[in-house]
Amino acid sequence: MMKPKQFAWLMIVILIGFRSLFAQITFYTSTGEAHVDVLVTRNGLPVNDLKASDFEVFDNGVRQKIESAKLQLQMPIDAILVFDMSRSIDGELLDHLKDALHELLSDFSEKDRAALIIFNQAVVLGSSLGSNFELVKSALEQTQPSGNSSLIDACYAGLILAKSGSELPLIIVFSDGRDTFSWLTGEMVLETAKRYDSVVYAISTQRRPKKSFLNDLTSLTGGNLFEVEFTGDLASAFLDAIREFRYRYRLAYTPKGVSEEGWHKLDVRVKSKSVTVRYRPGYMRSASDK
Amino acid sequence: MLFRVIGALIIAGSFFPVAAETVVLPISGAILNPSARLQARSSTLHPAANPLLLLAAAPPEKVDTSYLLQKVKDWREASVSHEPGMPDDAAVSVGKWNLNDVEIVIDWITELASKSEKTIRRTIARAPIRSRLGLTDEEVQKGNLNRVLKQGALLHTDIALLKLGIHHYIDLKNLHWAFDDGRLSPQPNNPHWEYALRLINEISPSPSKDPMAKQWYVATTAYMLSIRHLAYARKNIDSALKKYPSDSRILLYAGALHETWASPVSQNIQLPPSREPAFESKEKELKQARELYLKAIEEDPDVAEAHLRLGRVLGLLGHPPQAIVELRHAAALSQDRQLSYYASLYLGYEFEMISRFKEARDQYERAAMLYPSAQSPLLALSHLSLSEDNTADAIKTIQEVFTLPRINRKEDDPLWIYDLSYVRDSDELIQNMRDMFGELP
Repeated sequence: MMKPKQFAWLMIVILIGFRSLFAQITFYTSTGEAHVDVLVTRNGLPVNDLKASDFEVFDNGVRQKIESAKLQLQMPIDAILVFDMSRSIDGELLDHLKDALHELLSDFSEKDRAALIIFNQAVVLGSSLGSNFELVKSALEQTQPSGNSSLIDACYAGLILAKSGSELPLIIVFSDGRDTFSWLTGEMVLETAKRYDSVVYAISTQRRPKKSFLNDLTSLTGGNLFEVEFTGDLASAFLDAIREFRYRYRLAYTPKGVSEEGWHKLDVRVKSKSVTVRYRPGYMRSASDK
Repeated sequence: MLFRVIGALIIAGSFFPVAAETVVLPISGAILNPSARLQARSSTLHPAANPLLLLAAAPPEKVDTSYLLQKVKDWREASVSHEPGMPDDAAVSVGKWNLNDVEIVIDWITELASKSEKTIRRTIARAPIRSRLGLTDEEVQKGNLNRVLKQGALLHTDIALLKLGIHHYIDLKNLHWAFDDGRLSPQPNNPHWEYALRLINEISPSPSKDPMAKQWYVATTAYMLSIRHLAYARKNIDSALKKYPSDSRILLYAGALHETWASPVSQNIQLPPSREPAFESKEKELKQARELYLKAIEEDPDVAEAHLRLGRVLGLLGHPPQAIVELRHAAALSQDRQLSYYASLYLGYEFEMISRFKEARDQYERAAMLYPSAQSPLLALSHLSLSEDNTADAIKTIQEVFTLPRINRKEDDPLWIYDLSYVRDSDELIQNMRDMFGELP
């Protein structure tokens, strides 16, 4: 018959053993599927004939088995458009922006969807995610530019909206100015962007310093920032953004051999020299993302 | 004294209408925007324009002073007949004067007032000048020009407040630039503020001992801050701090000015090459604001606005625990809805920064209840949900932002007018100042 003291020790040993076992399991267990958007170019032109076996993905330094590599050209897009409608967007710039929106939407197929977030100091949903692009155009037509700019708040709203049910989320931000009225800080929104797999493209009519919020947001999500010198070039910038996005590959893999939570540093390679590969530098996983 | 009009451009009429959200900032460097519709003409000074010549080098009767004396007489009559706060003939008329003429009179009066009582007595004893200034026997005996200075100051203050001045000039060495939603444009200077300030500063024995002068400083600075004309406000505040270094309200205004310069509206301006803003980095400005708020609280510990702003600044400087103490103090001192909103919002932020999520949520929810039309508490709550790993709730709260009624008023979310909250009483202060000055005989 085991004495109470001996029983207690046995229980402690068992509990410690279980705890170690669980800790080990937690560390090495697989997480849910991860996606990485990758743009591959050669001499500035997209490369569109690659297969999963042409890619190598390292998640926190651990090589992963790529389950699929789909060219996004074949996939429907959910585009969240985040447009600055502050006071400075007027006259010719506003006309060119409306033309650019028309051009962009004419490039969309009926399987694609678009939503429009408009912001000055207020962040407003002009048109919810859907395939009726006339609603998107009409929302912009009905908006009168006014007020200041809450660019950071609007980008946050775009990221969250993209998270609410989008399979292939793309965010296109248009702004001519700088943030002056946001509640959220740039750091808060960049942290949010790390958690979601949305790719952010931005089109700006102002040259920005290298260390600016839009620069950071686009590079953190693997997107691109187009700085337009002449507002007449807005339409081509929007089309460049959407076409670049379509020619990206969406790689899927189930992370193995890495910790579930925390920052996952990514390294994506293509087994071919003389190509340029662009992708987000990593992603953040938390308990709720499992 | 040299005239500041030398090397200046005279601009006829106003240009670049200033929107309510425009912030006028002082920016160093002499530059002219080629696109600016500037109509320049060389300054033409009257031969009798130099008051030093009149008062020091040569006695008035030895130069042709008839033009100057007539102008002094007209100006004085306008100052006396002007009804405080009214766009009457007196104010309209002086507002239309050629700026050179106004400068002559202001220079003359201020030079005279800066002399010793004996010199003043000797000068105003001369019949032509005495009659034109309309002084009493007692004023002549004491050599006291305070009534002239104060009534003149009110006249020019009202010309500036009522926008009756038709001539504006840009001093090339001291440009005002308006930052308006990312665009920068030169702004015409309103010299009547400067005239009023110069007259007030000559009050004897010292404006620091004169309650009317202090009221003028407080009221006009509050007004300048309320229209976000930070360039004018800075001039006033720099001068006021020297005269009233222990006045809690002046200290609050000075702190708030530095806090505004630390804000994105000021810090995010993109200037043309070789231009420098006339303020410091965010951190330096925040530290200056902190020192001034601390002094304001030392002088008057019961000013809720000072505790609120000190709390916000401490938070931005990375001291959440101290920030929480000040913000709670502010909330306890005032039941004002707007101030309570700021206190709750900023308390929520500080609690979030130190991962006290439950308290952060309580504060954000309180702010949302105080202003149901405000988006900032909802954005804060959505982000807080993410911090708590609750993505579903973050999405739900953003949907609430999208359903807020939008009538596009700045008041929908008081966060957008935080930089003006402490000068909400500026109209009242201006009225008090006018009442005070209006009682002069």
